[in-house]
Amino acid sequence: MQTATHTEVHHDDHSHAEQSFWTKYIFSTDHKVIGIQYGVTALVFLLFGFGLMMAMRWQIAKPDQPIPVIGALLESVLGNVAKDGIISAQLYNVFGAMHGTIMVFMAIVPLGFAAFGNYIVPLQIGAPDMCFPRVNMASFWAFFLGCVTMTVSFFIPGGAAQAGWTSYSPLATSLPTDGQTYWLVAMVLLITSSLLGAVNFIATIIQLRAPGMTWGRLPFFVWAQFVTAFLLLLAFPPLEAAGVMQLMDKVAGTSFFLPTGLFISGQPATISGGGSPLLWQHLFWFLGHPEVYVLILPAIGIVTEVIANSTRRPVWGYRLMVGAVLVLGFLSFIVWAHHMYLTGMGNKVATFFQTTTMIISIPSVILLTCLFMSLWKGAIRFTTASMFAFSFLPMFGIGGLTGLPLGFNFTDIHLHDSYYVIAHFHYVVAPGTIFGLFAGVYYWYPKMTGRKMSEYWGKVHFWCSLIFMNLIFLPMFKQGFDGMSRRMSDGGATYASGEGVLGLAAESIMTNTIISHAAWGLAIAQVPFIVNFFWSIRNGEKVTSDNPWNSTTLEWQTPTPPPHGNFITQPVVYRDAYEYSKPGASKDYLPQNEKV
Amino acid sequence: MEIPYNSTQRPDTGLYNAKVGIWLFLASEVMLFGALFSAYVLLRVGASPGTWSMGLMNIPVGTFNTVILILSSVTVVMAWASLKLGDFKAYKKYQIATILCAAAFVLVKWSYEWPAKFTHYDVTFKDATAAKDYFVAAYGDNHSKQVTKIAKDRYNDPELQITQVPLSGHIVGYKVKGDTHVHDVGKVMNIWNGAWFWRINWQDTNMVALNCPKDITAVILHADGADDDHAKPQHAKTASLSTDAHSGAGSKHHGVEIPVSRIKRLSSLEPAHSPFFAIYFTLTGLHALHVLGGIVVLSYNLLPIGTRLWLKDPDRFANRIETTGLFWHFVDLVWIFLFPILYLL
Repeated sequence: MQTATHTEVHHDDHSHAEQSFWTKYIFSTDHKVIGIQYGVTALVFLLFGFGLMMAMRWQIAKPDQPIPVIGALLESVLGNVAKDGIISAQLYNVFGAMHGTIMVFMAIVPLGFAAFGNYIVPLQIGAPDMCFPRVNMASFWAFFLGCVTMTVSFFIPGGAAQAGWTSYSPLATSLPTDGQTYWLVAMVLLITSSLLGAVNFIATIIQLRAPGMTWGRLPFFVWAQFVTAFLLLLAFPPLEAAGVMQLMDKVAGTSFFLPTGLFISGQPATISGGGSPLLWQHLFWFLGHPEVYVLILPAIGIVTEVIANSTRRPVWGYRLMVGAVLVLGFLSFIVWAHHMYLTGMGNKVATFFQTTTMIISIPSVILLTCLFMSLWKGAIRFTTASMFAFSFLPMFGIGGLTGLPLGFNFTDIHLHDSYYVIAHFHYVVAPGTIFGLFAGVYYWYPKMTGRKMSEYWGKVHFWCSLIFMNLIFLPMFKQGFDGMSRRMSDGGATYASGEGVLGLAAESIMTNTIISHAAWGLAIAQVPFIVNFFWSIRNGEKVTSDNPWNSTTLEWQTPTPPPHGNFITQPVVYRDAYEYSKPGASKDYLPQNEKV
Repeated sequence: MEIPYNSTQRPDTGLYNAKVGIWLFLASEVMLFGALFSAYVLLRVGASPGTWSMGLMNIPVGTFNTVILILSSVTVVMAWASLKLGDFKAYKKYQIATILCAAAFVLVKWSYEWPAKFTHYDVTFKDATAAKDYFVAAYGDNHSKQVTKIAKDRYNDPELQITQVPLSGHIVGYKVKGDTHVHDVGKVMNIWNGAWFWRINWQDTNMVALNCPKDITAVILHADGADDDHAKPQHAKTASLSTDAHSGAGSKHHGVEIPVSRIKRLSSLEPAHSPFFAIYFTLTGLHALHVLGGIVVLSYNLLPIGTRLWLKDPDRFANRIETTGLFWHFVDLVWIFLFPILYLL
């Protein structure tokens, strides 16, 4: 692209003919449409996954009492597992497994990585589209098929997968229902989708940066997506391999993950044996840990963009942050077995992974510190987007710091598999990542629709979400210290009357009720968001310029919303990503494509 | 705006888009097969004596497949080089040769190697007495020699005892409450290319007998190398899977009748047989899928729908063939690793 002349938007030969509804909105190859497709699908599953959790919270708070209204519906759809509107232990397991699976693979990753990445990355680097638009479309449709398969599995006899989102063998393999088979097939589709997406993102960032967009000038969001794409590219295939092997165990009777001498329900299993349950755990967590960073890095990227924009000053330590995120990406591949301290894999192995786990906290702290430092002396604008971004920092901080006791194998012995773990990783992904994603929705909404979302209802959404999130997850730390296991379908009621080591403190069980009420409060708090989201498409405040937040990065230098092909003329980059409040400049921001 | 660097190189990276894409894709493939290789290592290291039943692979056939895949690697490069020289006819010739090699590879796997495993059975016995009885019945005075031979050739562990090695061969019939059904199960299965629903597998009290009556009382096994048919010298080779199920004379074999009450486990060499066959079928199956995918892409670029790009944008077409070739080399390379770990080591 040597010529920076006035190239017509509709010059490329795909858009000579007027596009039909189907090619424009359904089977689109435009990265922005695909981004929105991902975003809408992911938001739907975010709500669905949350709904599963609310049903589980009912069962925890009020064991074996019928759920009002929804209970009857569940019984009519799912049958005996929800008899009389009561969540049976089996259904609780189904919901638990699917809550994790849906939230991780079908909501957060597609929203953070695929939706925002697809929409924003090509715009921010000044590219007309992704490198491989048709591969991009294939990626979405593989994802969609995976989602359909996963959803359908609720309605097969026996219901969906029940062995947790981690699907440990031999439990996952020996359950007599087909849910796990559907889960595995769906996972293979989702992994295919993420593979296609990851290849596309990396190739796009390497190849399609606009003239002058050097690596040092990339917005941090692009760096975060770049590292995330590498994690997906290299960490997901081992899970795919493991999935294929577990599928073989399930349908071809092999024993990859089934040990010799396995008994199922008191009967010797008719298998050859000789497999290794630990093998599954290693392969799973080889994905599972980088996956944590796949969840968090896009959110950190969004938060960085929003913070720079709303403090009106450059991000503090841009180069440090880029270095940290690269180190983080690399280290995330060698910490996985800290999820497995209690498997008896041996002290030496545990010590190694304990060490790497402590080391990986360094780049995480660098990232967070840089973002905190960015606030210093900022002329802060308190928009809904920026408030979500600011609150991300302490929330992610709590999530990160409470992870340290889990990274040490001697403290992990007490806390493992307790509510403490749930509280820890939810602080990372729920008030952490999801707040980051909300910030992104409020921040980029005007670019996608040409209108802003309501700030008033946005702030209502923010404050209610913040309060209820903390009411849900803060007490869980205490429950975990009290020794409450995370896998009890009755919230520990069985152990309420026990004494000594077996008994649970009465307040731990009472806390269940508080948490559950907070969870339903959080659900109500999302109503303003949902209404605001749809209402603002037609009725929101119209933006008067293409760059309503006065931002420096390239995505705001396009028409609103950007047409197919994005830029009217080929942008040329002259500046770093965050030139806010530059001394001597006529305005407090200098777009990257403004000539020096 | 058009997407830049589709057919030209980006100056600072020196690459066109698809080349970056294919290398990234291959990196992910390395991780996919890498995970399976690591599973192989872990399963093999953890295998108890007499369970890693590796020595049954047909090495000459495997070598043949290796050679044709390497040959196809050469022709795929020649095809690309021909395009670079502008010789479209030569490209076509070389690429057809590539596809033929690939097809031959899959054909050998699908119609010969895999079915040979599915029609070959292992019997392990409930106790040492039973094991001895039937080894003697099958091999007469030679039985202890035979045990050593199986232990050495198949498990690479000469220390194995008679209770630790299976009696191995083809099932030529079965008995249902006294009635003998002389029935070349192996032959039937070959017609179906070893599809799973023709198996009769047995483990203790739980029988998986999908094409046989449930009240089966005994199976008749023609053990490998049991000396009853001098006209077929390959029967003497215990360690390699001969295809005597193909001979059409299955019913003439003098099988050993083994009552199911004395069998601990009866299994064909299917994936469920043992971790070795599980990983063998998974790895070769996944690899064969890659070969099939390669055939589809190679064919697409020979048909008019693919070759019209040659007329429009020859550079881009040549790039396409180059990336196809990179993928194809990767598929070859995987086999270069698979062959030793599954056949030789």
